[in-house]
Amino acid sequence: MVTKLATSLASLKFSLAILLLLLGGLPLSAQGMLSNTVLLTVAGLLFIVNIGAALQCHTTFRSQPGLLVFHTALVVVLGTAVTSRLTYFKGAVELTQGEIFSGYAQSEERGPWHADHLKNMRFRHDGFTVDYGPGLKRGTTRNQVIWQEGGQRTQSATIGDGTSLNLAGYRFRTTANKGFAPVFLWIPADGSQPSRASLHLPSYPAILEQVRHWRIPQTAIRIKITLLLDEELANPEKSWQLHLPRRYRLKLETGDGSVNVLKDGSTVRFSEGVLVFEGLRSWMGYRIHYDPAMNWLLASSLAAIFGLAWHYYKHFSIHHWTEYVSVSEKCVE
Amino acid sequence: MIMAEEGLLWLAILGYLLAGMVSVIVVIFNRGWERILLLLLSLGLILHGFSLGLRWQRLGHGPFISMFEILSSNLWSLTLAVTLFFWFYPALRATSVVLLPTLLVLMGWMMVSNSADTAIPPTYDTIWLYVHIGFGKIALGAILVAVGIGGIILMRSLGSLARHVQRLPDNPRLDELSYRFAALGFIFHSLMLVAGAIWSLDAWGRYWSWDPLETWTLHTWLLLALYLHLRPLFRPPPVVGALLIWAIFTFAFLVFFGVPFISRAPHQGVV
Repeated sequence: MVTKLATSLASLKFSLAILLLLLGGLPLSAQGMLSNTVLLTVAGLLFIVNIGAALQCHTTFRSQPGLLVFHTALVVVLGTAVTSRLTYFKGAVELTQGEIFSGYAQSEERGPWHADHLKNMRFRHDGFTVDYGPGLKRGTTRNQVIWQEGGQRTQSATIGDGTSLNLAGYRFRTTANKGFAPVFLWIPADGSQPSRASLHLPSYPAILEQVRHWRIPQTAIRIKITLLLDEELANPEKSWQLHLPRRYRLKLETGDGSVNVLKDGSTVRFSEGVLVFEGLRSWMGYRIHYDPAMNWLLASSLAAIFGLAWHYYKHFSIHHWTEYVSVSEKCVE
Repeated sequence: MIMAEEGLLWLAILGYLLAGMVSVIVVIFNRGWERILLLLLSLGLILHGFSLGLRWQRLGHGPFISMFEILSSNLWSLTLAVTLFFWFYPALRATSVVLLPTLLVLMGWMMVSNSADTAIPPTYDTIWLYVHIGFGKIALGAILVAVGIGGIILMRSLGSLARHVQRLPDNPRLDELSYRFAALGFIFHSLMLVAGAIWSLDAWGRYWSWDPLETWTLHTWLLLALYLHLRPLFRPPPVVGALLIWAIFTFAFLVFFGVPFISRAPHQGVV
C-alpha cells in the first residue's frame, strides 16, 4: 500500500499533473483570481513531494548523476521559491527631503511568514538630481541617503537606477516617481502643539501641473496650492537636470476666494491658527523589496540548469547528433 | 550613416527574399541549389549585421528597445541559427522551406515597424541585459530549428507534399533530432530566465514581478518542460511530437513578439 502510494507520487504522470496545475493556475493568478502565493506554495510543495519520492523510488536517478543533480537542485529551487513566497515583502514609500524613513511603507504586500524587521530600519532622504536628455528622456538618477550603521556610525551613499540601499536585506530603490514638496508649519490658535506637514506635489514636475488640494489637519480649512516657477525647469530640446528650483512662489487659494502668493517664510492667518510656508523640498518615491531566499534561489537554479545540461550532454553523447541525419535506406513515402 | 544603415538593411532583405525563393525551388522542384541558399543567407547575415552594427554605434546601445529593433535583431539571430544549422546539417537544408517563411514573417513585420531612433533607459545599462537577451536568442534559435525539423514530419503527413521531402532521414530520426534541439532550447530558456532575474534585481530591486512578459515566458518554459516530460512518458508518434513543438513555438513567438503589443515596453511599466 505504502509502496504503491510512493510509486504514484514518484510518477512522471504526477509531475505532468502538477505542471498542468501550474499552467492552468498562472493565467488565473495573473488576472488576480487566485493568489500567487497559494498557487506557487501548493504547486511547489507538490513538486517537492513528487521529486523527493522519485529520488527515493527510481534507481535511474542514482545511475544518472546529471539527472540526480538536476532534480535535487530542483527540490531546493522549489523549497526556496516557497520560502520566498511565504517570507517576502514588497512595498513603496515616499519621503520628503530631510525626512527619516519611519519604518512603515505606505503600500505593501507581504508573505504570511514575513518577520517584520522593516519597522527598525531608518534612513534619511537627502535630495536628488535626475539627468534628462533631449525629448525628456530620463537619464541617471542620483539620490543622496544617510543612515546609521549599527545605530552608531553615520553612513552616506548615492543611490539610483542600478544601485539600491540595502538595510538588513531590505532593498530600497529609487523610482521614476519624484517631485517637489512645499513644507508647512501649522501653529494652532488654541496654543496646542504646532505640527509640520509636507505636501507632495504631482510627480513629473516638468510635465504635470503642480497643483494640490489640501485640508489642514484637525481643521475644516481647505486650500488649493499651486507652485509657480520663476525659472525654466526643463528644456525639452536640450539635455538638462531636474533639481530643486531656486526661484519660485506658492499660490494658496482658500474656499472663501482669497488668494495669497507665498515665499519662503510667508505666513497666512486663519481664525484657527497660522500657516507658515517654510520652503520647498524634493520628494522621492522608493520601492522596498525583501527576499531572504533570493541567493539560494539563484544558486539552486544554476545548479539545476548545470545538472540538466550535464544529463542531456551524457544522454545525447550515446548517439552523435549527426547519426540522425544520414539518409535511411527506407525512404518515407 | 543612416543612409548606409538603411541601404545595407534593404540589401540584406533582398538576400533573405532570394534565399526564400531558392528554398522553394530546392524543395518543390528538387534542384540542388542548397549552396546558393547558404550563400544568400550568409550574405544577408553579413549585410544585416553591418546595418545593426552601424545603428548600434550611432545610437550607443544595442537593438532591443523598440519593436523594430527587437524584430531586426531577432531576424538576424534566428537567421544565424538557421544558417549554422544548414552549415552543420547539409542533409537537412530542405527544412528551409519551413524555416525561411517564418523568418520572412518576422522580416515583413520589421519592415512595417517604426524604425525611429530610440534612447536607452538607465535600467537597461547593465551587462546582464546582454546576457539575458543572448540566452533568449539562442533558446529561440534552437526551438526554431526543432520546428523546422518538425515541419518536415508534418509535411510528410500531408500526402501531396510528402514526395518533396522523402529523401530526408526517416521520421523517428527527425523526431529525435527535433527533441534534442528543443532540449537545447529549454536549457538556454532556463538560463535566459535566470539572467533576466539577475538583471531585474540589478535594475529594479526585485528578480521577478509577474509582468505580462515574465508570466507568459514562464508559461513557455512550463510548456517546454511538459513536452520534454511527455516524450519519455507516452512516446508520442513523431507527428504528435512535431505538432507539440509547433504549438510551443507558436506560443513562444506570440509571447516574445506579441506581448509588446499589450505593453508599452518589452517588460511593461519597468523602464
